[in-house]
Amino acid sequence: MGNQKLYKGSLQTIILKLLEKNDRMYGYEITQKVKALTKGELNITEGALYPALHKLEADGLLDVEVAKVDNRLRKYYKLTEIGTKETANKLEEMQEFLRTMQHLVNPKFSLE
Amino acid sequence: MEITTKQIQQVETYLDKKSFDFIDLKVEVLDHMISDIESFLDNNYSFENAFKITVLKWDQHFKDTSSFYFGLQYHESKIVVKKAVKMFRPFFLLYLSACFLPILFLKNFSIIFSKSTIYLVNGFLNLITAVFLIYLIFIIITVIKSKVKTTYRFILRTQYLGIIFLIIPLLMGNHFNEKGNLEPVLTGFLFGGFAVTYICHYFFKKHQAEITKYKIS
Repeated sequence: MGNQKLYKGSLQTIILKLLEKNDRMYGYEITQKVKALTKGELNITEGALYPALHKLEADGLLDVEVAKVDNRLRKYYKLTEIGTKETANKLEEMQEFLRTMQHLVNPKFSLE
Repeated sequence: MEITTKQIQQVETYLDKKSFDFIDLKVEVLDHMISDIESFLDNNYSFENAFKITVLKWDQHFKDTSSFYFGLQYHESKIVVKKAVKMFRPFFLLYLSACFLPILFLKNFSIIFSKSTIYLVNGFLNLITAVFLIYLIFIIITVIKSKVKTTYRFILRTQYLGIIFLIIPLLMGNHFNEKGNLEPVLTGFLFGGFAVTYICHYFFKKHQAEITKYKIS
């Protein structure tokens, strides 16, 4: 398992990216999707996930839908219009960050 | 494997025992716990074992905690306080700025008003303060009467004491010192009171919206 602290600052971007691809998702689904995509490398705990989701919701980047699924209620999150624009910005920032880190830790390596 | 309604009730009883009845959080926490249990059931665990493991994982989120942002006397489950802090943090800065910036400004810059202006400004400020005070009292009474718990209700509860920022200047009546300057501390109180009213208005709307979202009358 990798160092979870390194991923902490990117949690909001990860959530936004997932929602960009999946239209709407619920909390548990997000944790499982991340686990599957990273082959168990990144395990988002509920203690980190929900504060991040609530912050994104409060900032107007996410909208919420409550639906009855099976025998219980389920809260779905989806991107708002502002959220969609912000996702593009955050992904661009992330790419820039990765390029910078790449130069720092492995200066000889080039993707071009 | 889907769990039965009776088993869901068992999870709900656990949440009730933890006094976790915040409507804006309960739905997703309950759903997450049930999903956790169901994934264990899919791996051939018994419901009892799956429930025990899930509870062990979630227990830490229901521990009573408080935050510097609200004061140590206000405590709730960790998951509630965490959400409340995320929501409240920007308003905390607004609160501090509203209280201290007028004090700093008026201590450093002297603006002398004429007697007739003082009379008008006092009247205007007292009127505005009275309106804000009435609105704040309305919010407090409505929220107390509603009984429905949300994270926003918790935040509102921590702000009620701010009402003194409106009461004190209103009781004083005169916002100026004998030189004709606005009294710095009293003005800081007044702006603090306006900030508290705005903060309460914002979270009151959020609280009402949550009640509507989950259709609780």
